[in-house]
Amino acid sequence: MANYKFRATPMFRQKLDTKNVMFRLTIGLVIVYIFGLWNSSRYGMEYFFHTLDMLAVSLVAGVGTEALYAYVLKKDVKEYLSTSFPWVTCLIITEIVPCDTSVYAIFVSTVLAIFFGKLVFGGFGQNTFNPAAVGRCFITTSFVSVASVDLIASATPAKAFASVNWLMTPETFDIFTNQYGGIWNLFFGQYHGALGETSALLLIAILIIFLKDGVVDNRVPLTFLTVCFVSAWIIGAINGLGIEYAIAFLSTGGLVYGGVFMLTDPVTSPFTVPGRMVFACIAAVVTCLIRFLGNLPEGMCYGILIANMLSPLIDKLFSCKQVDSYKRNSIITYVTIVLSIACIVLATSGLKPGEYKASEKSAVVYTIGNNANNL
Amino acid sequence: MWKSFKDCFIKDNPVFGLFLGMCSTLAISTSLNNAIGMGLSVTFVLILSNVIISAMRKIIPDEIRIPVYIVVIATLVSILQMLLHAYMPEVYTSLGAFLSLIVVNCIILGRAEAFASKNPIGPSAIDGLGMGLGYTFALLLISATRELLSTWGLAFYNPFNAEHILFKFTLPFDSFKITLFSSPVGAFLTFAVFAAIFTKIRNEAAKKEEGK
Repeated sequence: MANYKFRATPMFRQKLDTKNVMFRLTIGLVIVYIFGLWNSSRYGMEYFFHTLDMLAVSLVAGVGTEALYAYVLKKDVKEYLSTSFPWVTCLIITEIVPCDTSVYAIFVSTVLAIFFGKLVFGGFGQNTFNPAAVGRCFITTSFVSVASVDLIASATPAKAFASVNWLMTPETFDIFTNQYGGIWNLFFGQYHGALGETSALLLIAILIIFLKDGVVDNRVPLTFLTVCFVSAWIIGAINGLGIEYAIAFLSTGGLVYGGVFMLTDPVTSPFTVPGRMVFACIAAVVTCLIRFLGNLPEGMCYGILIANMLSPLIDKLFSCKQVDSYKRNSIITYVTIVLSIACIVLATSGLKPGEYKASEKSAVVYTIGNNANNL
Repeated sequence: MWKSFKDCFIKDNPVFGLFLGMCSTLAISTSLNNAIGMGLSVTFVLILSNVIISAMRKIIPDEIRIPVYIVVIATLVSILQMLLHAYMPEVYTSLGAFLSLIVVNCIILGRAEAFASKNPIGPSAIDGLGMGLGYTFALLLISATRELLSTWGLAFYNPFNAEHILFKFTLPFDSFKITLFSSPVGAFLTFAVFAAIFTKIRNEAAKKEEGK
């Protein structure tokens, strides 16, 4: 009897527990933020300080809301905050809003996102929707033209790309890429845009490190990015564009950021392996359809939310004995991937490649309400 | 009898307690004037339908009671619609289709079925008044919150004459308004928050009673 020890589960501890995973995720987010900070400083000190303000306000709002919630429910505030990770949501919101959103808009949408997107569902680990995407939605629907800062901005690539419905003729594609320093600069991210959407290279590097350490599951981001990339490649080939179009399609806007940091959220994505791949396919289809056919400039935010909404159903589809139904599950998964690529390609068949006006080449001056829809 | 009247506001509030008549509540609660117009219209129909159905309760055959109730309510709504069209054209246009949809408002049919068909005329009239005012109270709460947040101010004009403004004010910092709250999403969010608060109040009161 003396050899037995009684203690609470879990008996087996992984090297990466939730706190450690969230810590690494935070570091990844901070690296993206610092890059964005450096990038914004090249557009003037006003931008630099506004970027700092945005994060500060978002952190105060997010952590404040959770602390207040814990206090009202008479929980230990410090303990509650350390297991609830509000700063991850705050960092993501700061990085996905257009870089000149007013701080008031960020404050309100962070409070609403944390409260309605996370706390009313029961806090961290229980939320159905990604709280940061909920916050982004609030900004899109509520503060498009009202709350803006008067900063002078040139059109972001995402905005310019969206103005031709993400499809253009080869000649205009050259004009478009040259305007932002060529295709590789779009990939490296030295241009003006939301903090998280600029550097695809940095995000992919972070993704590789995450995958190596097992911080995020590899199925969601890889399936998502592959489906988007392959469909863009095929669409480009149909319209006489090379692989550069697919690279530009991927590195403009919030596609990679959403795939790396938001879709991979273990709380809101399915837990079965084939389920995750189907989940990523749905997000990719919705995102690309909104990009090509929708009125909104970017579809990432709604792609994430709609996929989040379906993830319990997807889990139900695959909640059977994994070994027995291996064949069935893999057939469903691969058919879904092929179908989603076909769906995206066929959806663009009626679209005419847009003509990009060269006059937009010079920096366009507008106040921020105009590009509030970027992600 | 008066206790059940008082219950209509918090404990048995038709919107937050019984969750009846939600469709019109969510759709119409964009401004104070809509809320008052809708609330008083429903109260009017509710009192009269309760009284008429209560008076006829002994002669209505049980098998066809629902069609009879519907005929009574629909007649009252038609009368109300014509009255509003004649004397309050502003309210008539702003309520639109929801005015005729009072016919199928669950509160009215529900009270006819659950209360008026079993009770004498006096209590039925008071029940109608209480339920109607409870509905108006709920509408006022939701619409005041939504109007305040989405336009950053409140306005209320005389329902008989739109040019006669009773009060109107705007908060400072006009750009702080949150337009989301004028959309259906805002209606659902506001409604959910108030429903939660009312449930909390009810639970505390029930606990107190148990303690006694």
